[in-house]
Amino acid sequence: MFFEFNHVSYAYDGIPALTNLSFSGERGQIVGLVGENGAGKSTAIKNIVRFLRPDTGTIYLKETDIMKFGLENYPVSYIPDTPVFYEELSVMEHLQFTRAIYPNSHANIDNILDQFELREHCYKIPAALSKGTKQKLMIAMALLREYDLLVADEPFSGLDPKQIAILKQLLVNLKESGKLVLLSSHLLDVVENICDTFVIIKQGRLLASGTKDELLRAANLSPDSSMENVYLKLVSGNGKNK
Amino acid sequence: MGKINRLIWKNRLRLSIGTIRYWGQGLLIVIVVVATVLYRTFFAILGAGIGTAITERNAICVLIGVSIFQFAQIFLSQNPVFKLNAATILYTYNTTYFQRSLYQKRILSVAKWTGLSFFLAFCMGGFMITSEVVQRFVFLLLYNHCSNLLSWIYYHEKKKLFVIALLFVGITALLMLQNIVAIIILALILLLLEVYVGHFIKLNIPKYYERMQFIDTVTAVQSQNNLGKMQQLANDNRPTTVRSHVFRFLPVSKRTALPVKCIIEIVRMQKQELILLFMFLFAGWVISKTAMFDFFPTLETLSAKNALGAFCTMLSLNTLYALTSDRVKTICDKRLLGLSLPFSTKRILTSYALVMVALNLIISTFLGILYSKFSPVLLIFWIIIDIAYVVQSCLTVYDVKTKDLFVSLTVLLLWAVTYWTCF
Repeated sequence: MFFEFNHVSYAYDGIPALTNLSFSGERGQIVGLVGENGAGKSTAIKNIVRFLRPDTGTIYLKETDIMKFGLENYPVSYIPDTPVFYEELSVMEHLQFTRAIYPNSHANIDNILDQFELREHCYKIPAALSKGTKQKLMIAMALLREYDLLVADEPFSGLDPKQIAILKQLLVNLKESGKLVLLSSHLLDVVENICDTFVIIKQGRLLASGTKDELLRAANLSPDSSMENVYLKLVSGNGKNK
Repeated sequence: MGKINRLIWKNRLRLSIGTIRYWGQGLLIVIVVVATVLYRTFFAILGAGIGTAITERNAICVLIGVSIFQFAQIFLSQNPVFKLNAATILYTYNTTYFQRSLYQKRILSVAKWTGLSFFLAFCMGGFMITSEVVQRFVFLLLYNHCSNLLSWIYYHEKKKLFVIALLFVGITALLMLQNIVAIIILALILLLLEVYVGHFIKLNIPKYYERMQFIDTVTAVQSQNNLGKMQQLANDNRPTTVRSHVFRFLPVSKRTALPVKCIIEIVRMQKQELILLFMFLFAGWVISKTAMFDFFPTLETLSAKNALGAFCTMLSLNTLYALTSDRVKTICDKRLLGLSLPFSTKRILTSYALVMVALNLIISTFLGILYSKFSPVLLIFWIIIDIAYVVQSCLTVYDVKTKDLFVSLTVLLLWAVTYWTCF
């Protein structure tokens, strides 16, 4: 298994946020992490990016405990839910900054600028960028390094339909290039078409996981039902959870 | 690493240029005021002079001041002592650069405290370098750096409150002892803390990251002089919970609703407002009762000092009355917006006035204690300040045409009665 979140539990000052949560992913997949507010999605992500350390359980990447990766070769790139920048550095300077942190990366700033249509914004500071462009810059910075797993926390929030379409295409391209993408989102209709598997979390526990077809079967729903129907049925407790 | 540092410094420099451009004058005034107050504290209050060290008793007072500052830094401050940009945390957390940045921050902190501790020891020792000054400098440096590390540990590991409190009490006691054994023990504690912070501390990165995001936003809006955003941030950062259990003994009925509301508003007054009120009171006391500002040519005579002291005290009272009057007006205005209130304007004014009269009694007693004036004159003072409040609130609520003139007269009355009673 390329990535494995194995029986992980985490509590904030004794209050459980994750309880024995397990899921996995393979290269060339987009895994959708779905759940209501406070379900534990962000806590799971913070454990994966090593901001937090699991109380129990282990997270494996390339069959290695993530805590055993050295500081310079941790192959996880992260896009947080809120864009964070240096307020007085331009778009170009941000990209140069990331490049300086990862000097061995093969990614090229010029290519990234073209790929994300950021060239016209090169010398603007973040305050002068639209929300969509800020999000694009966050992703551009996350991709400007060597990584195997991209973790995106609510990347579609606040974006207009055109920007959502562009971002979805980008994530699909990454998947096709052999990366594993872990996508946390509330927007079920948006993630439905791009995710290969879904992990549904409720109150820090795994409610169900699998492909859309598997979840449809688990929820006893017809094949033309949407992920929203699956989610609502599973969350309300009327389904055969896997 | 050079390029990363260069870009971070570039960001900091640009932010600082913006801050200086918009806030430079204000900052300069603050620096001048702080420098003057420090200078006068050492020369006029603590009795230091060129070649004259402050007395042992005053030295203890200064050390207690340092301890109070460090106590606040460790247990009350919401901000970490070592600050990295939120962006630096996000982009470099899983790299050696992050660890190195924190290490650099610790070194910079040592440098900062070396300078400050030496300056303080130098001032306390009569602006000379003697063996006593060096000893005090070493003590202050060790103490301040230990406190910094304790603050950093407590910020990330709240569960260690007991151990940290114990260590803080211990190092504070050692600071007061001031002997060679105390120096050795302090140095050992510092060494242990350094090892712990360097190798064993469990950083609470989500908390640190979130706080630094907030601090970065505040720094940015300050640099851009974005007053609207500043107001929004101040509102967002207000506590979301309020203390309500204190008012359980106050039964709320139609008759008591307005006085209770007034009491609640006073108790829940914003921190900034309270600080302002106490600052005016404190300034009045310092000006009139100490030699702090005697170097001003106009403050050479006692009557001039007292007049200015009374003015500051009056400002405190007047600010309180203005704030309360505005609240009364807000309630009355809400009726115009459609709020159905079963109270007349007169009733609202009276209810608030009742509470203010009681509060004025407390204030009068407090001023009596502060200025050691216990005579029937205090009773007259209480009556007059009550009248001043009632006049001011009526003028505010009824929006009288000649309001400004009458408010000015009230201010003069308050000033005169404060001067006459307290000084």
